[in-house]
Amino acid sequence: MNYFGLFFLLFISFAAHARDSLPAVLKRMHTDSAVKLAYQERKDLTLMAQPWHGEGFLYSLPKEGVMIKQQLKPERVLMAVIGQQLFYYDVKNQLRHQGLLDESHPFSLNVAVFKALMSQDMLLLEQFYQLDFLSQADQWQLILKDKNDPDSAFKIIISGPLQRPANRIDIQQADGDSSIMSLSKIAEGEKVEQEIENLLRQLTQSTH
Amino acid sequence: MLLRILFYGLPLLLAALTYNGVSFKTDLSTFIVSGKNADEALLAHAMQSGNLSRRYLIAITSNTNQAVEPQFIQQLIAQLKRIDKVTDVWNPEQKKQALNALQTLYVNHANSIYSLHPEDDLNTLFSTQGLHQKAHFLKQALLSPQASLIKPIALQDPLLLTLNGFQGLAKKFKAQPTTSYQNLILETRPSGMDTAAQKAIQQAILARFKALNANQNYQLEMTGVPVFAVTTQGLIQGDIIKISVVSSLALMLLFLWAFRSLFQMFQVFTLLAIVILSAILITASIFGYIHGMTIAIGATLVGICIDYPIHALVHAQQSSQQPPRSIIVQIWPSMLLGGVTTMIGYLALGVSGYPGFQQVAVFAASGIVIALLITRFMLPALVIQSAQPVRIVGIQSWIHLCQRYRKIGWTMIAVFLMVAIWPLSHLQWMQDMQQLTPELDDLKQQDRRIRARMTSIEPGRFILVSGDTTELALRHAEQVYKRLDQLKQQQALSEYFGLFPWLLSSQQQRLNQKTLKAKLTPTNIKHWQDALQQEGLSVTKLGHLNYPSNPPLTLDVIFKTPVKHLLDSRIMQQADKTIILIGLSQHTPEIVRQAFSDWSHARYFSQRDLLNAMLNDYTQMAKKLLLAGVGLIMLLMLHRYRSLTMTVSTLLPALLAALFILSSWAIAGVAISFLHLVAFLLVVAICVDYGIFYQENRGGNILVTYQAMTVSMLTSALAFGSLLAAESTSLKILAGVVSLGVLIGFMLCPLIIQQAENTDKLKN
Repeated sequence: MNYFGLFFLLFISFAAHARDSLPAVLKRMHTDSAVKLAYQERKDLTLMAQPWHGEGFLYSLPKEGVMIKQQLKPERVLMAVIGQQLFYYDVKNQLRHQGLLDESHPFSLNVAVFKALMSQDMLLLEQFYQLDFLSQADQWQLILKDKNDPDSAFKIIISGPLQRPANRIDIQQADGDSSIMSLSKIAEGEKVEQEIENLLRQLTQSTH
Repeated sequence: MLLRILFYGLPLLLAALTYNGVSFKTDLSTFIVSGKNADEALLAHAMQSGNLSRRYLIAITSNTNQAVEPQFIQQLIAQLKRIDKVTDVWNPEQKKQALNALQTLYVNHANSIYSLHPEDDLNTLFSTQGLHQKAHFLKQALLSPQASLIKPIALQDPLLLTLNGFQGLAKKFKAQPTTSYQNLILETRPSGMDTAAQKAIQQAILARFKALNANQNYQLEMTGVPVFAVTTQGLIQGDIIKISVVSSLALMLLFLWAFRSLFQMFQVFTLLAIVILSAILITASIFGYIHGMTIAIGATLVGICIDYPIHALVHAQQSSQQPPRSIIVQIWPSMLLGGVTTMIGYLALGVSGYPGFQQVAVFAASGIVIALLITRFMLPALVIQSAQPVRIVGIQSWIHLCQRYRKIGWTMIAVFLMVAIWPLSHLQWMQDMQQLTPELDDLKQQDRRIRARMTSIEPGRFILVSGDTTELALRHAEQVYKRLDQLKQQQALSEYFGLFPWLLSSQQQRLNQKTLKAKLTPTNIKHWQDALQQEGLSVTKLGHLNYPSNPPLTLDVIFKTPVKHLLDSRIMQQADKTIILIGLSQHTPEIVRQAFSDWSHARYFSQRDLLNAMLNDYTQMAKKLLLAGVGLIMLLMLHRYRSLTMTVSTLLPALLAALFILSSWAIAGVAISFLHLVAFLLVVAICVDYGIFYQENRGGNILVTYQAMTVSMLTSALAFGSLLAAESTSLKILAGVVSLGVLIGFMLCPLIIQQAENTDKLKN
């Protein structure tokens, strides 16, 4: 699974309580307002000699189906999912791509997962993943595994401190690649919506 | 008695033979013109029965501003695939298919398919800057959303040579700015011309779409050869029914009005049934089938063949003293000459070059011969003289008027001639064959609209490359790409769509492998590893450039993968010939045509230009036929009358009628096609009959002769006029010209032909 789609999961500002259950957590995570998170990311890719580090902001506007990743370091890159469309803009090299998220694209699965979470649709979520929810002494963990191949190395672990939103996502790919993303919510509401509009304008202005 | 049984039983026998033995066709293949040379013939064949003909292009458009849901498209594809005789349905977006093909097929041939100019491209790549740029690109790709695609390719092909050609290809296709529509391609097993099967498929497509689109969020449009074929077949079938009903009813009413006898109407229509059914059987026995269009045009034959029994009946009615046999024998020479001149007109149709008209010519010629023979040898024994001779009001007055004011009439004709000749210089000739089928304009616009969303390729215009083998055709195509690149630099062409990067000749592939191998020196590999290190990429995994020498990729291998869908309409293989079509975007036709004018294996091809050249050929042919036909008719008459004055006066009503129509259309600005000219020839052939009957007046009573001519003129005008009920523009052209022409020709006979003295001459 590609890491990018998984940032959808980060916007789930749910808090978990000791002896909490997944349905109860899902019930609390619904949000319509725009959210902005700061993130730091580390990727360990088999084709790279050393880990790669990046940082920037993640934005979500659930009611419009908009997700944006604004990477500021090491280079400025904008990525977004708007409905069923995927946008990519490499600011430094002025490279733009646009594509449709069909069923064969790895992101499509993530979008479906995101929608399932936002609509509190556990059945839909369980269609794609085997879910394990763990409530430990100091943190909660949601572990997603490939339902068709639960023994593979593929694993997504979303975690956070007790009664706090998610602050970390680990993705371990079947081919050995992995990434860890740490995040913290920094803003919410109308101001974030405006920022999202500006970023979308940058992303889509030359692709039309 | 035996003759009566034979006469009345024959239609039943012929109908049974027709029902059981005749193959009817309504597909358009016989009316689609095949090319002049082998390449064009192969192309025409492919367009009629090849992949191109069997495919639908389906467009799903959102009725709202919302995007078309991919799930809806997936469900629709699944549903459409289940339709009987549908072989496949797919999304024509080349990008996705290209990406899949890259991972599964092309990555194994990275070192052979990467370039058309390997030396230049590798010199750029293996420069210090080139290798650093490549390493940076690789890193960015591995960190991008496309990492899942790039990683498996990079493991086999660290230089990402696989992507080389495809990056150029991606630029050629329009970025899809919106998802408010989605195109699909549906391929069927039956030919596009198999209208019965295609009609069922089209109904199934619409039904399945409707079932899925319960909320009516989307609309479906489709185009392709099968859509045009089914629509045109529907038009033809509708035309045949309308023309048959309208002309039959009109002729029956006219006949009842003129003869006031149901029995005689029954007799004449029995004769017509024998004529039409015999004509169908003869035509089908020669061609193996009969086309619906032949029957539609051939239906006008009724209006001509009915003339012979009409003349026989009118004369028999008016001459109660003479037995019918002697009267028919008396007027037989006029009928025979009239029949022969009409046949000349129809035979001219057959040699006009328009393929469908060959059947019409055989149909009409055989019909005329049979009508003449029955009138001469069977009808005399069957005719019962009516007590109520036909009298059409105003006919006698018109003859008197013409005789009394002949000089004024001739003066008017002279003035008319002077006035009518002037606008002929402004005659407009039809330049575009598509003007002949305006009833398909909506479909053509829909076709353009749907295709315009896919690529910027101009439909129907391409470079046609040929070779005795596929390998040779590919080599020739590679020469063409170089020339097209030059044309792009000259801005005579904005883009072209060849087979690269999907396929190169084996020769070019081997050259690519050899050139790359020469570049993989220890120094260059060291530079590559340095570049990888600088970007933080793994030298262990990406630093060893091991490109195996695989056998060249062939078309057969590609055709076993989904990439087949992208290529099989652009390359056509036969045992001794392969044709490659290179699509062109916006271009300057003259410059591109000129660029390939002296190439032996490649040339510019424009379907529309080809059709228009054919239109021009047909028009030139029709002009010659008009002159030849009139010349032949004139020779026949000279032989009969041995008088130039009589010949000219017999022909003049027909020629003036044709001239009148021609001038009217020149003034009205109507574009004249070969069909108009052929119709003129028909007018001349039919009107000459009137001239002959009036001139010869074999019955001895000019009023009776003109009465008979009146009824026969009305039947001809009605039979051709009923074609106005058709949707087909070709048939409407015939209807307008011939109906008006025969009326004018008929009216002019008493004015031009000085009947009394000519009758004396003939008798002498």
